[in-house]
Amino acid sequence: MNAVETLNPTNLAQALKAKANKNVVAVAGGTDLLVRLHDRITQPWPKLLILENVKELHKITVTKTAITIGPSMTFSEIENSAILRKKALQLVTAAASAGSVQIRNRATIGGNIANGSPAGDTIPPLYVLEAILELSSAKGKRTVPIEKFFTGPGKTVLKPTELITAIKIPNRSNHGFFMRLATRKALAISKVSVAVNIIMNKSKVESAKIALGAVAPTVIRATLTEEYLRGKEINQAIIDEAARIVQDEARPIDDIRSLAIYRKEMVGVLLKRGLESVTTNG
Amino acid sequence: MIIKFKLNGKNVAIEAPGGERLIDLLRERLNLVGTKEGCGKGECGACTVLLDNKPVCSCLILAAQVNGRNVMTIEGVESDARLRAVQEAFVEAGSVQCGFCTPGMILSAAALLRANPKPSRDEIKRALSGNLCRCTGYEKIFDAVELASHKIMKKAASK
Amino acid sequence: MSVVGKRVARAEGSERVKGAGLFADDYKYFGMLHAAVVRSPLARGEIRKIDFKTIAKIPGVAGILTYKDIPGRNCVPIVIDDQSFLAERYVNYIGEPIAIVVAENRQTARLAAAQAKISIEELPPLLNPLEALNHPKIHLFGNDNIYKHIHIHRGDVKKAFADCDVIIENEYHTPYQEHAYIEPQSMIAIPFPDGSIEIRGSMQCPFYVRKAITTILGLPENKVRVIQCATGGGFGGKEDVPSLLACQVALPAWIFKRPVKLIYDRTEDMMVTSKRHPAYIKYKSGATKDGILRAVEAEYIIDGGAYSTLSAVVLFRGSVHAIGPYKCENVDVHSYAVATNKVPTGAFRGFGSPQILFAVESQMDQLAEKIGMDPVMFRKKNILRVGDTTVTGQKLEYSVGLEETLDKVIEKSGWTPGKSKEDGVGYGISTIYYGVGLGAGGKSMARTGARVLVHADGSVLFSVGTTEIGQGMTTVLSQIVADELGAPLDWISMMPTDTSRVPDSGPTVASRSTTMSGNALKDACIKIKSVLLEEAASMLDCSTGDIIFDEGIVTGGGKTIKLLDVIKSCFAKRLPLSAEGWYITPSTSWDDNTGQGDAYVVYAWASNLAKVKVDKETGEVNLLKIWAAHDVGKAINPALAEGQIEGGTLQGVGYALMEDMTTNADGAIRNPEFSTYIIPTASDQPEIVPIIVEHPFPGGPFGAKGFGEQPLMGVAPAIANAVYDAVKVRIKDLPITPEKVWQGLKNK
Repeated sequence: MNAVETLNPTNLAQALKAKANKNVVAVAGGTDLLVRLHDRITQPWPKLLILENVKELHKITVTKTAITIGPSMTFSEIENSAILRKKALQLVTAAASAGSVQIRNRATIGGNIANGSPAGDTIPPLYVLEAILELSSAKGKRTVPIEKFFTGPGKTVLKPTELITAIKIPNRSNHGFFMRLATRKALAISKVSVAVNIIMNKSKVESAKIALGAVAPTVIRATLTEEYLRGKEINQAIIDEAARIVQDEARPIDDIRSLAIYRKEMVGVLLKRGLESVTTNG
Repeated sequence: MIIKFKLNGKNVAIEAPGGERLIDLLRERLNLVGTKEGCGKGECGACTVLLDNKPVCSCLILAAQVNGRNVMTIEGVESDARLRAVQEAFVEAGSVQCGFCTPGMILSAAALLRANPKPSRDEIKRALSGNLCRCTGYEKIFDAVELASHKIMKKAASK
Repeated sequence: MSVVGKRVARAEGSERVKGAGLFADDYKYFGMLHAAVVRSPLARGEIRKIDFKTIAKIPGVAGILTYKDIPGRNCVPIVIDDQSFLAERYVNYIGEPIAIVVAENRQTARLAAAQAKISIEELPPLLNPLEALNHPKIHLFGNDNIYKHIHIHRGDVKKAFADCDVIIENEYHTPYQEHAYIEPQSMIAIPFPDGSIEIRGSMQCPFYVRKAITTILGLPENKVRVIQCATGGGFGGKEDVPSLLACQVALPAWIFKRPVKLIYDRTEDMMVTSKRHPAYIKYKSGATKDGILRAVEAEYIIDGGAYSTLSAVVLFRGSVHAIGPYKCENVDVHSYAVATNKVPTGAFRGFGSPQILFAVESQMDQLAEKIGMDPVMFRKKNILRVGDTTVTGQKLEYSVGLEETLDKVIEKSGWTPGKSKEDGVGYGISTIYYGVGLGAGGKSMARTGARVLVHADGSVLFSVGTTEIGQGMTTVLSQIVADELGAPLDWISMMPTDTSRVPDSGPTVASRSTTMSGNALKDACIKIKSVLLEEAASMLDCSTGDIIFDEGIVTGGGKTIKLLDVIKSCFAKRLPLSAEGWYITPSTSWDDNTGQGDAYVVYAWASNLAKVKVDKETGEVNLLKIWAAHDVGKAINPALAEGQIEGGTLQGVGYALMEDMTTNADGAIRNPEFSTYIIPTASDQPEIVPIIVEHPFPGGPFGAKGFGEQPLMGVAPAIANAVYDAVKVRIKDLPITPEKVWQGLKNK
C-alpha cells in the first residue's frame, strides 16, 4: 500500500475536530482497514486519523449501573478484563475466539463495530448485552442502541464526521454464552455464531436474548425464539423446540465459507448446545 | 513526520510518512530485513514483531502508531538472553525448514514464554496460531517451545 | 564415527533463526527498479488495444514493455513451447501476462500495472475440462484440447470383471491445491556491462530459469548465470513458475540496464501461479471374495489450464500410480491432461498421484467392506513385495518396505480393525507408493553434477545443481560428503546453487536430490579420497587398503595421523584435491501406448493411519492422530526425515479437510488469499507420529532413496476411510468439509 498521510491527535477533542474534515478515515487497530488499503488502487487516498494516542477512548469504566468500554480497547484487553469476564462472558469468549494473537492484540471493539461485518465476532454478544453506542462529532454526541446501528453489510448509521466514543452495557450479572463455527480452529472468520443472554427467575426463563452472526446481512436478534423461551422451564424438549424455531429466523446465504442450508441448521445446533451447557452449569 | 520509538532496546528517530507500514519502515528505511512479508494482510504472521512485548503483524501497523512505543524485531532477540534460548531451541529441535516463517514464529514463542513460562501444548498451539508454517507440520516447533521453556526455567532455577 | 544416520542440526538453522537477510526480497542493489505485471482480466479473448499513456505519466514509472520488446523468442520453454512470455494477440486465462511495468518503487509499479487500460474482445472460454475434452468448436490445444493421453493396459479387464465377486464403481473429484509457500515468488535480475546477466531468486530449478532467459534474450548459456537465494518453501510451486518471473525481471533489466526486482503480492501469487491439478476420476475395481484384487478400469482427467507447462509429466506420474501399490493383472487406465481457459496447473508434492490415490485407496476400503474383510487384511493380500511385478510390468528386485510400514502403523497405534470403539470415532488406513526421481517420464534430465573442493586448511566446499528449499538437502549432502571424505561435518559447506558451478543437473523435483546429488558427490569424493589415500599410505607407510578415515582421523599400519596433516601434505606436493562428480540414473523404459515399462528405478512406500472423531451434528471432523510410516531406504538424517513426514502429512491434512480452491463463473480463482484459502494453523495440527522404515536402495547413497513428496500423498484417503469408519459417510469429493459430512449424514 502507499504511504498515506496521517493525522495524529493526542486527545478526543483534536480527534473529533480532525474527523470533521472530508476524506478522513479513522484508524483504531487497523487490522481491517489496512487490509482494505493494501488492495486499494484508486486515488485519492484518504487521510488516516490515528486514534492510538487518544487515551479517552482506551479504557473501561465501571459505575453501579453501567460498564463503559472504550472503543480502542483491543480484543486481547477485553479477553483479559476481569470485570468483563464476570459481567460479559459472551463478549470475552467472542473476543478470545477471533483472529490470532497478533490480530487480537491490535483489533479493537470499536473497529469491529464500525466495520459492520455480519460476521464480526463481538457484535452478537453486544446485541444480547443490549449495548448502547455513543457516537460523537465535533458538534456533539448521540446514543444509538447497537441494533439500530447497522443498516447492511458494512453499512452503519455512523456519519463521516462521527466517531464511536463509548460502548455501554448494563452492569448486571449476565448469564449466557457465545458459540461459533469456523473454517478452521484458529485465525478464521465465523461461518455462523450465536450469542445468548438469559435471565432466569428461579427455574423459569424471565428473558432470553439471542443474536445470530453471519446468517443475515447484519447480525440479527432471534425474537421469535426469545419469545418462545420466555416463561418456560428449560428442559430438553424446550431446548429442541427453540433450536428448531431459531433456524427459521436465520436468513443465511451461500458464500466462500459455507452453505445457507448448513448455516441455518447450525444456528439451531449451537443454540441447543449453548442452552444445554447453561442449564447443566446451573 | 519524525517517528521516535525504541527499537530493539535503542532509541530511534526517523523521518517517514506516518501512514507508512511498520514493515516497510523496518525493511526499507532501517534495513532490518529479518522481518518477512508473506501476505501483507495479517493472515500469515511472517511479519510478526513485538510491540510493547506483544506480538503484532507489522504489515498492519502504521509508522505513526509506533511513535513513542517499544518495538522488538528478530534482530533484537539476540541481545536478550532469555529470548536467545528460544532461537537455540529452534535450531536444536529441528524446527526450521525453509526458515521464512521462523523469525515471526520465534517472536510469538518468545512473547508466550514471557507471559507464561511453562505453557501446555494447547497454550502453545493457541499462541502460535497466527503464524502459518507450510513446511514443518508445526510438530518440531512445539517441541522447540517446550525445550526453550525448559531451558529458561532451568536457568532461572540455577540463579 | 559416521555422521550419516545421525540427527545433526540443519546447516542453515542458526542463520535462519536470526532472520539473517538471505531471501531475494532481502537484497537491494544500487539503481534497482521494481517490476509489476499487467495481466489479462479475461479468461479468453483477443487483444484489441493497449493504452499505456496514462500510466506512463505516473511519477516514478520508468517504462512499460510488451512482447515487441523481447529480443529473443517470445516463449517460456517448459516441456512443449506453447506458452508465450508476454501475450501477443490472444489471452487464454485470467492473469496471463501482457506487459511489464517498471518503476522506482514497488508500490508505484503495482499501482501503475493495475491501472493499465487494455481492451480485449471477449471470446467464449472453456472452463470445465470435461467439456473441453474433444470440444467440437473451441480448440485451445491441438484439435481435441488434450495435452497428453496415457493408456495403461494389462490383461483382459472385461473377462476379469466377469470373474469378480464384488465390483465397486465410483466417481471422485479433487480440487486445486495451492502450495501456499510462505515466501511469495521473488526474483531479481542484474545486468552487467559485459553483456551477461545474473538472476537471483526463489526457485527450485536454476537450470530451467537459465533456459528461459537464454530463450527470451537470445543469449548463449555462458552469458546467463542463475543463483538461487534462500527459498521460502517450494513444494513444486517454484519448479516452473520462477522461469516466468525471471523473464519478467530479465527483460526490463536488459532493456533499462538496471537491476530489477519483482515480488508477487500474495493475492497475485495465488491467482496466477501453478497449483495442483483438479481431477475427475471414474474408477471401477473388482475383487474375488477371497480378497484378491482382480481388475481395475479407470478414467483419470486432470485440468491443465491454459498452457501445457508440466501437465504431461504430471499425468505420467499419476498414471503409473493409478492402481496403487498392488498386484493386479487386469488393468485398463485412460488418463488425459486437458486444456482449459484457467491458470496453468503444474507441479505440487506428489505430482499427479495424490488425486488418483485418493480414489484408489477409497476403492480399496469399499471393496474390503463388500467382501467382508478388514481393510488391512485385504491390503496384505494385494500389496507389492520384492519379486512382484508392478502395473507397468516392472519387476521389483529390492527395497520394497510397504508391508513393514503397514505393520508398524498397526503396531504403534494399537488399532484392531473392526474392534468396537467410542461413538463417532473412526480409523482409516491407506497404503501407497512413490516412484523416486524423474523416471522414464523425464529420462533425458536424469543426470546431475557436483563439484568438491578441499582447501589447504581442511575446509571443504561443495556445489551441486539441485537446490535447498527447506527440505534439508544441504545438511543431508554435507553428511554424505563428510562420511565419504572421512572429514568432520563442521568442515563441510555448500555453495548456494549456481548454474556457473556445475553442469546442467536437471531440476529439484521428484524427491531426487538426496539420491542424485548424493551419488554425484560420492563420485567426486571418491576421486579426492584416492589422492588422500595414496598420500596417507605414504605417510603411514602402509597399504591404502589398511587405512581408515573417520571424522578427521586417519589410522593405518598401527599409527594414527590427522586428516588435516594429510591434506597439508597433499598441498605441499601440489596434488589436486578438487573433483567433479557426475551421476546418471540407471536405465528406465516406457511405452506410451501400452503403459508398460520400468517406470522408475526405485519406489518409496508408505502407510498412513488416521484416527478421527466426527461431530454428528455439525459434520466437523476432528483429526485426533495420524501415524505415518515411510520406507525411505536409509534416513541420512532421521530428524530431517521426520520433518518431511510431519510437514508433508499436515499438507495432506489440509488437502483432506479444508483446502478448497475454486474458480468463479469467469474462470478466476475465487479465494486467492490466506483469509479465504484455508490452510492448517498450529491449532489444526493433529498429533503426528512419524515412523521411519529402512529397506536400503542399493543404488542410493548409503542406501537412501528420495521420499519427500510421499508424506502428503496418502493422507486424504486415510482420513476419508476413517470418516467412513466413524459415521458410514463416504466422501468422494475433497476436501472433506463439515458441510459435506453433514449432508452425507442427512442423506443416510
